[in-house]
Amino acid sequence: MVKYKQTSDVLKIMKNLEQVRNIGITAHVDHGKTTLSDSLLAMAGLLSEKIAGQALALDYLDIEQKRQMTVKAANVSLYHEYKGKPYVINLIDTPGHVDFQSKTIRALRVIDGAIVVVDAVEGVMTQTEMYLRVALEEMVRPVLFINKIDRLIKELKLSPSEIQQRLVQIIKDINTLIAEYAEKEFRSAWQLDPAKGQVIFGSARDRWGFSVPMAQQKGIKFSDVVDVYQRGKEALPELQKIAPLHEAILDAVVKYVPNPREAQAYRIKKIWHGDLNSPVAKAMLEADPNGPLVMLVNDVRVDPHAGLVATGRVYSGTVRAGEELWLVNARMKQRVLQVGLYMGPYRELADEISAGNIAAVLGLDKARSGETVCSLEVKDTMTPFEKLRMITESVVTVAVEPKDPSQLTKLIDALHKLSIEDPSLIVKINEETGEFLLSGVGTLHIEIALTLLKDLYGLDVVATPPVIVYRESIRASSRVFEGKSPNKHNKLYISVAPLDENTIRLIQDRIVTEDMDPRDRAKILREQAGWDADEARRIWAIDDNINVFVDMTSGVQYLRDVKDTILQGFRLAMREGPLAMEPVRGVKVILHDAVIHEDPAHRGPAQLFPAVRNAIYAGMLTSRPTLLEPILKLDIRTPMEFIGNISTIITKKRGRLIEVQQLGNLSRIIAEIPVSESFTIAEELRSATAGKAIWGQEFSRWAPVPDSILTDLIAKIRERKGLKPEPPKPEDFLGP
Amino acid sequence: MLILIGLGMKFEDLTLEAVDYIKGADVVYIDTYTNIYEDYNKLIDLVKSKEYKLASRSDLEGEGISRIVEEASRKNVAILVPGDPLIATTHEALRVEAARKGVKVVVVNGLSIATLAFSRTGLHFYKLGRTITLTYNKESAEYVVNAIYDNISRGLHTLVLLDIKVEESRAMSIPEAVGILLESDKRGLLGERVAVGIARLGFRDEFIVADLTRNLGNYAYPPPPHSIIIPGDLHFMEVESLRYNCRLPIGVYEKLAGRRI
Repeated sequence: MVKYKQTSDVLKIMKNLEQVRNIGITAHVDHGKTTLSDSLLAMAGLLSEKIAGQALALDYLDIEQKRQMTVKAANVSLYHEYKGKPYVINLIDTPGHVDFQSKTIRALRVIDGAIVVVDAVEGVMTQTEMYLRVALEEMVRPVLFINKIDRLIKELKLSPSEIQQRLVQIIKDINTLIAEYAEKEFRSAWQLDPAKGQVIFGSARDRWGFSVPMAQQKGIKFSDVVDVYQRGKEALPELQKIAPLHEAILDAVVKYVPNPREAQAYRIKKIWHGDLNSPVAKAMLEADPNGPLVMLVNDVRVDPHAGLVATGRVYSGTVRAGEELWLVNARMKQRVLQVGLYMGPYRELADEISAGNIAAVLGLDKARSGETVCSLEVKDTMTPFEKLRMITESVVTVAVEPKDPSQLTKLIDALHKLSIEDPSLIVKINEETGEFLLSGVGTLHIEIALTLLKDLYGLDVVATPPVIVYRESIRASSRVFEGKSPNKHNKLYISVAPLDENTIRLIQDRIVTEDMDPRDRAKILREQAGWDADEARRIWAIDDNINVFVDMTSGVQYLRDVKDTILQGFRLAMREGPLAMEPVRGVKVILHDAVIHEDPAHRGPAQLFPAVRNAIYAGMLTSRPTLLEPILKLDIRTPMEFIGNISTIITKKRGRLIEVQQLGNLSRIIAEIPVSESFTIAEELRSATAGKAIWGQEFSRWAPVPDSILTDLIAKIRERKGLKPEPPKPEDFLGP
Repeated sequence: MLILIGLGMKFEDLTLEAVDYIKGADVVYIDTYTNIYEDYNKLIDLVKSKEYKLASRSDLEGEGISRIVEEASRKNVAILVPGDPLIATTHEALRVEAARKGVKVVVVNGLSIATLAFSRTGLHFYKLGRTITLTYNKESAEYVVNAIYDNISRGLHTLVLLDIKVEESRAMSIPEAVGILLESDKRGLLGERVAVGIARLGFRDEFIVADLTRNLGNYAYPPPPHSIIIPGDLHFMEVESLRYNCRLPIGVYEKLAGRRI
């Protein structure tokens, strides 16, 4: 049960990294991630004696029932004894739904091992695969927990030998993924062997579980489990006693998840791209508590009492209250006000937290998830952890307003806090209408945000139906257009061209970035995307929506002095394209020549922004412009007889089947449909398959909308934004 | 006919010719965005009987240009601009476009800082080097400092105009500008050179002061518009002018005078 410890005892354990593990739990929706975390917290949670004193009065069960705790805590620390030695196990929150991928990936950075939860009935699903894949790419070592064994017995009524067959198949599926996605050095080393205790079978809800060695040692057989469930609820405590879930899982974690020092020795090269021979790198590879401080913030939450709490992993050095630290991405220094550790779901004050551990820090209120924090002495040379690769994009937007108009300020504040905690939620104000726009990666993501507004902040809001965010792009190259500033004293000669698929992929995967070494970038673009050598060298900017600005001028006077202004103009123009003021994607903007006025007063933003924009817009409008719409990938498992029905739905929704596989008596359908057609897909799939289909969905790609609906769609978006339905003509952007 | 009229700094600066043309105009546009001017009310009194508009950037630039020129082809259109209508070049695009379309153009000049600054301080106009605007755009500071050194190396004075953003209701003050210049001065010589702070030149509460650049931010100036002159080589008469027209502190004056004599 829950362990009551002095904070000082726990701090002592944390200093000895062999006794620390940092882990996470990943699972497909409803496979039991939350139940497992809750069970672990209830059975192995850690409480300081101070909190325990208060908690006793409530009875710990009551705290456990406040499940919100585990949902809301950035980290939950557990206590486990293995072979007589105490261990602190940090369980970092990894949100479950596919819509929260960016957050999940970030969490993967700070853990060294992951418990992969798989529902015994459903087997390996889309998100299991997706998370496992990303975890392996980040060099996180998996341990498998096959959950809901009871369903095999109670619902499917399988015999012990059928149960075993099924479990073997799941382990095989997972091992295939490990062989496919793990780094070379771990492909065979990380294969899961049930005989070694690397797979746990059990039920998180019923709080029992065992591994093969544990079963052998205690003489448990699957037939005993079948027997227990046949006898009914009263028999469960027996099983819970002989096969406690937390023991099975945490034994495996202690034994197979590397300790932070072991893990950093091989992971740093993967998650950090600085000079591996530098002193900072050496300190991180060794998790040296005396090295310069390096911390990766993976979670930022707003605590109503304490303010902004940044939680993250210390890779090197020691974080102490009162010290000034450097935020690498925010480019500023801030003072640490308090340092804390997690005891169960609660934060307790500490004087310092050293390398390899998870720290909660107050005072770094400019830090956002993904920030690299370091000591001032290395601030000029510190390479931040690589920018996180996002798999999903924000594609759905709603406008929100409070039901009670007097709560507007409260709403603004709450939205701000939500977007700090979940950076994939984007809050914008429509300057024209004063509406608050909330964008997320899917309808579910938005729904969850609205629920949070109610649950956490007590705000009832009215939200408009979700609106899809499109992208504008072009399908041909333009001639060179002259963009004049309003005062006619500056001229820019610009053409646009579509970026090819290879370039888009390189930028999307962040292999090519704006801030990388220009020579390395040119080499990659030349070799992997066939760029002209000269153009590849002359890239000035790459924006977030994958547009590139290339400077092909030579010897233009004053150009250097207005470079930043021109690029700001470029970024602004790319934010709202000419067709429907949607963001632009996949466009290469080439500056061929320019005439710039000699006095700064006549070449400021008010003059140069329109000059840049007009030329780009005229170019785009003459280059077969189109809208790109977000496409969802569906991964559907269904009994064979429903393939026809599903196929009809997909086709009706402008979608297509990509692949149909047979998996025993189930079929797996991989299909694509536009997000705009997906709002009712859940109900339709359910009713077409008598509720027997299960599926996962994820953002797949951007695709041009069919020409047949393009004009209507543009008009619809423009009218929604209060613009006249027809898009502008190229002449509108050309001066006399 | 397109009539470009300079207003000078205050209402009394209007020339008789300007008043005649304003009275004869069918339509009057008053430029309210390129500079600070305080006597708009008196101007409006003068034109209120006819069609007039307080014009913003979009009226007089960009697409506004062809609209105005088209109007001037049918009516007498007067554009009223603080200072001189063309010295700061902004409205030159109007004049050129009108000429291109065969519309008659008349220019009525007004007092400009370009001449007033020298007339009031006594610095020699013959030694005016490149004039340049220090804007809020952070790229401009280094550029301006380079231009100042360039002028100094040739013994020339630099007139530094300070950014005015009427549309954003802000304008750069001398203390602000001194801060920006000294921060961008990598060679570090400007602080010890003499400079002249010019506040509200030609206005009723004009204030002019000369001192070492590093001290120039310490004076209490009336609100902008402000400018600064950074002299190059000083003629001995200019040193006297700085002392007696521009309140150059006696200590600095004696050093300069001593060096010259």
